[in-house]
Amino acid sequence: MPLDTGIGVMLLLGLAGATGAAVRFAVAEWATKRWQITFPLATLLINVTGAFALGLLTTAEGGSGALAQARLLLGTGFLGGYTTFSTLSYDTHSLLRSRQTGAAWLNALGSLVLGIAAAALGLWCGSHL
Amino acid sequence: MRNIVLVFAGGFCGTLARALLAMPTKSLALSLFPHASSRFPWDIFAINLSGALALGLLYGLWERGIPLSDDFRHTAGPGFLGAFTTFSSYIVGTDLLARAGLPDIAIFYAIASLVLGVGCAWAGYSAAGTIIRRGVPQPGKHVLDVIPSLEEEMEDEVLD
Repeated sequence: MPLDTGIGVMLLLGLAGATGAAVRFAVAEWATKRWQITFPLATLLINVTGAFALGLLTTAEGGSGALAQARLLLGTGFLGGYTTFSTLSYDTHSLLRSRQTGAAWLNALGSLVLGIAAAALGLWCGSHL
Repeated sequence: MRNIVLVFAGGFCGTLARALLAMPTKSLALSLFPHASSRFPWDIFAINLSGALALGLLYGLWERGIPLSDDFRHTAGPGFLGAFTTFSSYIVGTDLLARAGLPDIAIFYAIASLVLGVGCAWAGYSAAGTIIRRGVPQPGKHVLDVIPSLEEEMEDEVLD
């Protein structure tokens, strides 16, 4: 099925991103009810796993159009919608505002360090598997 | 279930907005910052910061009593803005800059995004306070009229 241009691929891209956003929301809601903690651990785990998956996908390069298409839909679409930067920023700001400075640093630096490590691992796995 | 459908709808639009913006801004950013490395991901940088600003504004308005419906908040917040901004592209972009032999730009991108992202969320949240203090919308005409229904809504939404 030719998907490389036009409205069809944009529709699929939107649907992939919408699915990612819905999965993120459902996981975060479930975790909030289940864990009963103020620290935004669910968003952190979502972002770190998404960084690993995008790293893996990024190295799966190839000339074939189908693979490039899959990378666009899964990477830009699903993983772009699944992971979020705005919630990370807002939650860190909220923790700072409520004077939970340690938790704010843990959220920001934890996301950054674990995210970079996860993406590096994904990139490594993608180029060695 | 209703909320998941709303997040899905918002996420659809947010993903497309990001995808459409991320293409032309590469050349636009280079024309604005001709000395910048062509590898610096200005598109994702600008998308993430503007999304953080908008989310701060949205939640700032809501927490201060502007009657934004539950449905609107779910569609716009975790839906549109959650999908519009992206953590995975930001982090993988950082790794790729470092791998491309540009560790200084990678470190700058990583730190500047995070610091300015929190700053933008803060600015949006604070701007909401300024907007309300200046009386937009007029408290007597809009906010107070809907406070009874707003309080009912908020009781259901305390955990959000």
